Amino acid sequence: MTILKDANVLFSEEEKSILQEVMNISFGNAVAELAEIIDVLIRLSVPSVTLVSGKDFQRDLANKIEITPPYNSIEQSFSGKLNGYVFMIFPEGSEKKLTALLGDYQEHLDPVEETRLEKGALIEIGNILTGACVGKLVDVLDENVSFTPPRLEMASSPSWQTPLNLIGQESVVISVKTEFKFMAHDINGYFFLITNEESLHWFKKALHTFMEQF
Amino acid sequence: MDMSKVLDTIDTGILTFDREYKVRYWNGWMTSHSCFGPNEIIGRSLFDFYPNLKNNRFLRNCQSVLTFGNLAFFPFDPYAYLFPMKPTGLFKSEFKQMQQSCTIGPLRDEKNEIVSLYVSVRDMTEAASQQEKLIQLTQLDPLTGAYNRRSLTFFIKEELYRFKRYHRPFSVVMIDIDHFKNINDQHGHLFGDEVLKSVSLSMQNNMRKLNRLARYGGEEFCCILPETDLKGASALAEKFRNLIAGLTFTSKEGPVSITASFGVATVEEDMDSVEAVLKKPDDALYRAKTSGRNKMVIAA
Repeated sequence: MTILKDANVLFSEEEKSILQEVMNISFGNAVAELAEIIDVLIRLSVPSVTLVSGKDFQRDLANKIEITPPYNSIEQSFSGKLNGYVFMIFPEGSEKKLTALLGDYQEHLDPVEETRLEKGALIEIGNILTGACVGKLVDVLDENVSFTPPRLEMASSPSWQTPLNLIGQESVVISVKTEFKFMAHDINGYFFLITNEESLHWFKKALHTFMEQF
Repeated sequence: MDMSKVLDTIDTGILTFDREYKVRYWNGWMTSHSCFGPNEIIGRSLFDFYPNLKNNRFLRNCQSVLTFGNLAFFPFDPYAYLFPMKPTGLFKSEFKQMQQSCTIGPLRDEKNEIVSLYVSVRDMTEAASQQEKLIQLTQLDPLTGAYNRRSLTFFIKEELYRFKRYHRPFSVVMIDIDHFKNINDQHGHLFGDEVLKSVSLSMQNNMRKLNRLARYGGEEFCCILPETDLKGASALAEKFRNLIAGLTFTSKEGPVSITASFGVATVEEDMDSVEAVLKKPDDALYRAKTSGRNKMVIAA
C-alpha cells in the first residue's frame, strides 16, 4: 500500500495525530451511547486511520479484512461539509444472531418472514452503527450531515466497486477502520469510514478549530 | 414563500413529534391517507393513534436519531409500513395496507440541540407490487407454481444452517411421477403439463405452509420439511402418494390415472452440503422406482 507522499503535504504529523485523537473520542462516545440504545455492550477497536489513494484503496481494503466471503455487507453514504461513505462487514450467519439480539428471533417461522426479519436486523444495526460513529464524529467537529438509506447485500462477495467509483483513482481519502464486537453475542465485524477528497480541506480546518478549544 | 402550503400539498406524508412523542405537525397527505386530521392528533401522543408504533424497534430508532442526529430508515422491504393506511390506486387489491418507505430525522433548535423528530412517509405500494412479481419470477417454477431449483438450494442451505447451529431437524421427500414419458407420448405435452400442474397443486394444498415444494426437474419434485422427523416425513409422503393415485385426468382417449414414487430421508450430522442432503432421498427414490413404483421408500 502507498502511504502517500502527498499525505505529508496534506496532513502534518500533528494534524494526523489530532485526526487519530478525534476518531478515538468520537468512536469512544459512540460506544457508550450505543450500549444504551441497543442495550448491548459493544466494543470498538482503536480506529486505525490512514490516508490512502483511490488506486490503492481496494488492495488496502482486502488486506484489512480477515473474514472470508460470502458475508453480509452494508453500504451507506453521508453528505454535508463532510462527505463520505461507510461500509460494514458482518460474517455470514450474523444476521440470525443480530435478529436474536434485537429480540426478533422466532422459531418455526416461514422462511420468507425469517429473511425479512434478518434483513431488518442487519439494516437497523448497520444504520445505528453508522449514525453513532459518523454522528459522533461530526458532533465532535460541530457539524451535521445527512445520510442515504443503507444498502444491504446478504451472503455476497462484494467487489467494493461502488466506493472505488465514488473515490476515484486519483483521489486521496481518509480511511478509518474499526473492528466491532457485540460482547456476549459472538458477533463481530468491520466498520470502514471513508471521507472523500473534497472533504479534506474542511476536515483540516475542523481539526484545528477542535484543537483551539484546548 | 409559505413553506407550510408546500408541505401541505406535497405528495409525501410529513409529521413531527417531540421528545415525548406528542404530535406537533401533521400535513395534508397524512390527513388524506389516515383517518385523522391535524385538529384531532396535534398535541396528542402518536401512540394514542398508532399503538403499533409502541414497539422496541420504533423506539430504538427514535432514540438513535435523538442521540446521534442520524436518519433512521424504514424501507418497505423489509418493514412494509409504519402507519397502517388503506392502499389506493391500481395496486390496492394486492396489499391489505399501503406499503411505505419512512424516514425519521432530527429537528434542531437555534442552539443545534435536537428538540423533535420528523417522519416522512412515501407510498411505495406500486414498487412493492413490482418487486413481488419479480420475486415470483425468480423463485417459482412458472408451469407448476412450485419453487424452482435455485430456491430449493437456498432452502436446503438455510435448513442445514439451522440444523448445524440450533439442532433443528428437517426431512426431505423426493417425488417422481411414474411413467411420465409415456403420458407425454400418449396424450401430448399439453396434457403432460396439466398433470404436472395438478400434482404440484395437490401437494401444495395438502401440506403445512412451513414446508417447501420445489420442482427438481422434469417430472421430479422435492419437498423440504422443516422441524420434521423421518416418521412425520414418511407420513406426508404416504399422504401425497394416495392423493396423486386418486387424481383422475380426462384425455381424448378417456380417463387417465397416474401414480408417483417417493424417497424419504432426514438430515444427519455428516451432511455438509446440498448434494449430501439430496443424495439419500434420491437413492431411496431410485429404489422405489426399481422395485415396482407407486411406493414410498425410506432411506437406509
